[in-house]
Parts: sequence; structure tokens; C-alpha cells
Amino acid sequence: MNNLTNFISLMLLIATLPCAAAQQWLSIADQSQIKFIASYDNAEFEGQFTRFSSQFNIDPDNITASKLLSNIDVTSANTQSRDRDQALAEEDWFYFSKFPQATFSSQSITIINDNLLEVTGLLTIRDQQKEITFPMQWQVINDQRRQAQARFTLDRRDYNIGIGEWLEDETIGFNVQVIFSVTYELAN
Amino acid sequence: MKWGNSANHWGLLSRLLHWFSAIAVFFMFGLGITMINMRLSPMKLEMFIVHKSIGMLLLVVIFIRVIWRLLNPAPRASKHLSKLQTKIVFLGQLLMYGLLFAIPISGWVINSAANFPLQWFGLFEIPPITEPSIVVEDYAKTTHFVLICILGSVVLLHVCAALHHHWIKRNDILKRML
Repeated sequence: MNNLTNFISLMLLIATLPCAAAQQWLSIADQSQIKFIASYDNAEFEGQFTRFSSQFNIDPDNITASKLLSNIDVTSANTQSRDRDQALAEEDWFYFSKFPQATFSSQSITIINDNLLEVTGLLTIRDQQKEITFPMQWQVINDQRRQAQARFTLDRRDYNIGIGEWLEDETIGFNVQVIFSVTYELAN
Repeated sequence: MKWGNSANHWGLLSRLLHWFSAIAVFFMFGLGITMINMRLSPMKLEMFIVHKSIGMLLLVVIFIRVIWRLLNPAPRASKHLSKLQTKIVFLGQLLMYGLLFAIPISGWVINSAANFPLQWFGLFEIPPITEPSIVVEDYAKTTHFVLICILGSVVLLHVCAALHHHWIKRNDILKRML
């Protein structure tokens, strides 16, 4: 009987080990921001996506098996400029009615040092998907919270943002900086 | 050719600034009407960029004109004008100076409230004068439009009066500015 109890206990422990090890972190909307900095007439302007969600599934024993997923509602783009925000919805730009979502899905994550990860993954905007790699700070706030910060530059042409006559950078520049600052909460 | 005004003639600097303002204002009327009626395109944005830079230049020019006028008195009132006409001319000039200040400033407010950067002829950035605000933007757009309509009317009267004196009354009033 004792042996059976021990066996069941051992089996239960083994079965629960991977679950205990894997951590699921979910973004906290009101403490997170995804901003972008673009240029108009060679002067910078800033905007942000006010609706998005992100999930970071971390396997502490095998960090490369971790997965970072983000979903961005591009129709929430806000540059605090009515004319500009209306233009972003147009077919030549984000084409909101056809492509309302942008997604990021990591393919590999490596540890650079204690607080720094290198993330490679697929970023999909409109009808274009490209692989990007960027360093990401991953900092402990407390047992239940983490802060992720990353900054990288995209070329808007890679994602068909600003097509047709907008394929010039005299008015709207090609490079767009993306600033990702997201607070995550442990879900399990 | 004197830079300063004489008793009967506007000096070179006054004339240069006057005619520059005249050409720029007519160009801005045409540019403004054309660009607001265009569909969104890089060309439209380029036209706005040029419009804003010239507008800010006109603001600097009117500032210089007022300073210069205070430092360098205008020619004597023409003997061809009655006292009432002289007063009307002075009030008209005052109104045009005021409008040439107020119109670029209202345009600057529109650009600031609409949260667009403002690069002066691509040389340097001019800071915004208001926070982004749709309410302020709409109010400033209405103000800009109303002031332009007033300036258009006053300029039309100003040009008609100058041509009337030159071609009908055949006096030297227009020649003082040539």
C-alpha cells in the first residue's frame, strides 16, 4: 500500500512538474504602451496603439522554448492628429477595414544577460510578414510582475504601409521606430 | 536710392517689404485655395509645408515692417487726400498690419493643435504654440478663414484705391511706393 502511495505521489509530482515550471505572463493594458515614432517633413511625430495584448510564455528551464505573442489592434493608432489618424485608416496606409490586426510571434529567444533577451520572430502587418530580431529588457518588478522594454526600427515599405504615390520619403519618412514598454502579470 | 523713407516717398526697405508681402499674400491665397481642395497626396502635403513656411516668413516680415515703420516715419500724408481719406488710409494700413500678424499666428495655432511638426523651409523646427486639440484646431481654422476673407476684402479695396489714384485721378500716390 505504501509503495502504491509513493508511486502515485511520484507520478503526480512528475505530471505537475512541467506545469509548475512554465510561466504564463499576460500584459496589463493600463500599464503598457506600444508607441511609434515616424517623421513628417523630416521632423518626428509620435503615436501609439492604445489597444493590444501580449502574452509571454516562459519556460525557465529552456528559455529558447519560450514564446512571446502580441496582438495589436492597429485601428487604435492615435497620433493626436485627426487628419493623420484618418489617413492611417486608408487603403494606402494600414487599410483598417481589411487588416485591423497586427501580430508578433516569436520564433527564438536567447538570453544575453540577466535582464536582456534577444527575441527573433515574425511581425505581420497588413498582408506582409517579416522576420525581425531585437533586444528586449526583461526586468523584475516583483514576484508577480515583470517589465519588458524594447525599441527597434522598421522600414514602412516592408509592410506596405504607405504604398502607391506614398513610396517616397520627402513627406513621410520610411523609417519608423517602435517602442514597446509592457508590464506583465503572472497568470498561473 | 535711399533705404529710409523721405517726406514724399517710401524708402527702398519699405518698398521691398511691401511688394514682397503683396506677392507672398497673393501666392498664399492661390496656394491655400488650391491645396485645401486637393485630395490627400504627397503633393498636397508639400503644398501645406510650403504654405506654412511662407506664412511664418510673412509673420517675421510684418514684424520687421512694423518696427521699421516705428523707427522710420512714413512719408507725409498725400496732398491729394482729404483728412477723412487720410484717416481711412491709416486705419486700413493698421488693419492690414493686424491681419498680417493674426493670420500666420492662427495658422501656427492650427498646425500646433493638429499636432503636425513645422519645419521652416526644411532648415529648423518651429515649436508648437498650443497642445494638440481638435476643439482648438477647429476654432483656429474658422478664425484663419474669416481673417483671410477680411484681408482679401481689404486688399481688394487697397488695390482698387491705388489704381484709382494712379489711372483715374492721375496723382503720385502709387508712384510713392514704386
